[in-house]
Amino acid sequence: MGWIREQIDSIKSLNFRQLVTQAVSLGMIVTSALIIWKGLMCITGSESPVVVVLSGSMEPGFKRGDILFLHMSKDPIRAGEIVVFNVDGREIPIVHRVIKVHERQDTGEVDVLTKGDNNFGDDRLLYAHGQLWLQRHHIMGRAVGFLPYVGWVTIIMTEKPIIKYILIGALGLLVITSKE
Amino acid sequence: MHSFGYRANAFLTFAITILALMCAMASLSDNFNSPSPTSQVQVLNINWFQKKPDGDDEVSLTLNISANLQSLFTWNTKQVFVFLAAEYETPKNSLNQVSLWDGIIPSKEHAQFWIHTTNKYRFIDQGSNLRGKDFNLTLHWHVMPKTGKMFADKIVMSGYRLPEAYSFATALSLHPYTLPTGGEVANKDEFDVLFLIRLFCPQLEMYRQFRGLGFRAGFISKLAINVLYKIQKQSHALTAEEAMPEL
Repeated sequence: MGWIREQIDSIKSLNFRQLVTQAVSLGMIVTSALIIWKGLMCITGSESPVVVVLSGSMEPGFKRGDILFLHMSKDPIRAGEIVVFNVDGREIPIVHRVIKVHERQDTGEVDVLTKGDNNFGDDRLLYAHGQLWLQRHHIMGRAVGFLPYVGWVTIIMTEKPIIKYILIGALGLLVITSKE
Repeated sequence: MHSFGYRANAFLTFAITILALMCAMASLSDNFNSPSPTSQVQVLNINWFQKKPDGDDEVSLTLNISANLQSLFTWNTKQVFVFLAAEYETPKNSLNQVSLWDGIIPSKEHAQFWIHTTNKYRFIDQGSNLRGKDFNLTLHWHVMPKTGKMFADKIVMSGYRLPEAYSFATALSLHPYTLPTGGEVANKDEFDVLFLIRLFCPQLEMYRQFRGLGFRAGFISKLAINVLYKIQKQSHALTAEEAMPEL
């Protein structure tokens, strides 16, 4: 209880000068997070450098809640790579493996077919109606790195928004009340 | 200064830093492993080789794949994904990669294997370029770590060549109940009919017309089998295009 009383006291004793300092430090934290994210976007060339695996279609390699680091370079797409792609009419990007590649001689365009390691058949059923192949513009990036479990944080926060608000509130309070 | 909040914060920061450091070290330690996997693939049989109704070539192979991938496994390896792809060049495409077979190796004990299989995924060309085509069989592997960076590499095996002429299945060499145009049926009679009809008259329409006229499926099957025998007696080297108008 002493800790809570301490916190309340510190809120009471805020003066204007302190308030501004706290606001600035809060702003610094938010902007530095944004800078890191945007910086990662620049380095990896992918519009979302980190994705969380949401389905079990790549088990046992990737389980729900694992994190993948993406990279999008100019290198051509090859069979065996794990790519993250968007399908027209679907909001959530899919993480699956490339099983077939046909690359044009003249234009260098590619036709790509994907499949989840844990799925029985290929992904043509998941693609837009009548779509047989993925093209380059569907692909957001290829997975290069892997970190287990960490993605559960975001899964829990999106599925139970109340936890997200409690966490944000607590962090905000901590930043405001912390004395340096 | 020494409040509960500060101590919890310091402890968490320390714990996460150590964990991140351990993950990074585990991932980096993979670089010290220099694997030397070996592989051998034989094409035992061309089960059948045909031009699909839409004009694309398709072939069914029986493969014998043996490999030793034990040296890929380190203490940071969760699994190895291995697949065999046919790779070739055509006038239209500078590279075609068609995965024929794949598998997941969960542990080092299973990393030395030998498998006799037909192609798991359909070997279809974009166009009709497969007759007499030289192709490579490439064994690719993807090492999935417990944490950190993923590794991939391959062994290219060249010197494979597809036959100059289309060929039919001798019904026995096919895995039963797997239709040449893909898909599987559970019923043997239905399989016989669909198999033969699809093989000989790609327009399934003819089968439907026969059925529409009141013929039993078994009768159409026998009819088709008769035709098959006649064709086989004539010549083994008969191509699909020549045989097609027979029916």
